Amino acid sequence: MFAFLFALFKSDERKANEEFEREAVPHMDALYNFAIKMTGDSDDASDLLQETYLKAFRFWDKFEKGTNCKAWLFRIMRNTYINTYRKNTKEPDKIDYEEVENFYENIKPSSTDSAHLEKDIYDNLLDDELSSAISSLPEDFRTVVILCDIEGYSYEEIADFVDVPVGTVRSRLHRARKMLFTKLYKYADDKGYVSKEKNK
Amino acid sequence: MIEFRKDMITALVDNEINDPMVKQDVLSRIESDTSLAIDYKAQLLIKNLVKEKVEWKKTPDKVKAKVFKKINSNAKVNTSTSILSDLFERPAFSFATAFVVILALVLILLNRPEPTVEKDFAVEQFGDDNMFIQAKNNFNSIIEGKLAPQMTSENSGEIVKFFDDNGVKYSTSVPEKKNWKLLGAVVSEDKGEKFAHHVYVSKDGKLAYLFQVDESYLNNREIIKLSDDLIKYLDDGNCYTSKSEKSITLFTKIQNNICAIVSNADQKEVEKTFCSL
Repeated sequence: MFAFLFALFKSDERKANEEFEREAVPHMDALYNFAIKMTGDSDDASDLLQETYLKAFRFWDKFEKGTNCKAWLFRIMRNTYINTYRKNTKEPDKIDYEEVENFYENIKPSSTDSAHLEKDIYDNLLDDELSSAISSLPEDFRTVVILCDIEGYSYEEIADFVDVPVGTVRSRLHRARKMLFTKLYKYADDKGYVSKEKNK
Repeated sequence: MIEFRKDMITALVDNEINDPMVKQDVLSRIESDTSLAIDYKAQLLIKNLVKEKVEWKKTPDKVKAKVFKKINSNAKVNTSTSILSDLFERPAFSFATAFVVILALVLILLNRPEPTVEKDFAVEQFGDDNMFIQAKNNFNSIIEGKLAPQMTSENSGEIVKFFDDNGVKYSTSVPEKKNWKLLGAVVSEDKGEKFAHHVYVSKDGKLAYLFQVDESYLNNREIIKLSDDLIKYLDDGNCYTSKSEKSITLFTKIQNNICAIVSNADQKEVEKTFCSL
């Protein structure tokens, strides 16, 4: 009887481990990339990834089988990130949207064939420069850009990850890309790519 | 006439407009309005730049190894079955020895106290400005019909907008829950600050009231309080439940908001629904 009980314990444990390995582990690269972009540092990203998987493993019994495991893991990582990295930032996020909008309108070109809107002038930008522009976005905006433009998730999936309505995802993406446009334009202008293109 | 939302341009860029009429409307506006056409090109440019230029990194092997090591060490702490299996595998131990050891362990397991070693944080909560006390009082007022929602809606987006429009300064989250319907919301005011509350109803008519507060308010303790132990417990990713005669009070964190959920539904159902990570 005891051998049977022991075998039962062991088989349950093994089954859970196998499930975890099958369902959660394959998403590690996606989570690592998200962690890198959120923290902007490979050591912090490594710590965040370890914490996320440890929590996921501990709470594996709370994961509803058949639901989106990747979304569940992203939620754990995002919450861990907020709890760990936001502890010192106690004030709620406040963004002056009007200021962002005004700045964008000021640098926005006056016609659609303007060099400002050509991909060529940004082609010399490095991955690091683009990554640093993304990292400088406020957290809520950075998250949607990473999930949509890098990870390729739909609005509905992102809404599920971050617990906001789809309309909020859309509006954050709209604003995030406007902010990125202003930042990347400034990078390209500082490096002289814009003026070179204008003189062509 | 309904005002055109510029973020529909973003939805077009991301191919997220399913209704062909809406899509056509957005396209027509872009064709006829240069400013919108520029916005469209700018959004498309940024999307393509990010997509093409940001490098996708594979998890380095040493990081993967660290993750597995951490999980394995946790698994070893949490279970003794691997040690038990070793007993059977080592030839130095006879089956009889292993049997005696297992018998002893099983007896210990069978006689151990209930695993409810979780600290009872409820006893630390007192005072009118305590979030735990306020949540319970508010729930009782709802049940007694003394507190009604200021707005009713089943739509989480509308409730979030209601919070924003009525002066709640922090980001709020109104998750939609399976088997529960949103009922409505209330914005309360305390010392000039606004706080967000909303209510769910289950299929069998039970209520769940959710009161969410940005952690910063609880840390500076000027308007609303909660014991430090409970805040730390929630910060560590835990969920705390306290059962009283007529209701369940549950504390958890959604993003950087501490949430109190009070409900007259079954404890397991409340925990399953609201204790999410």
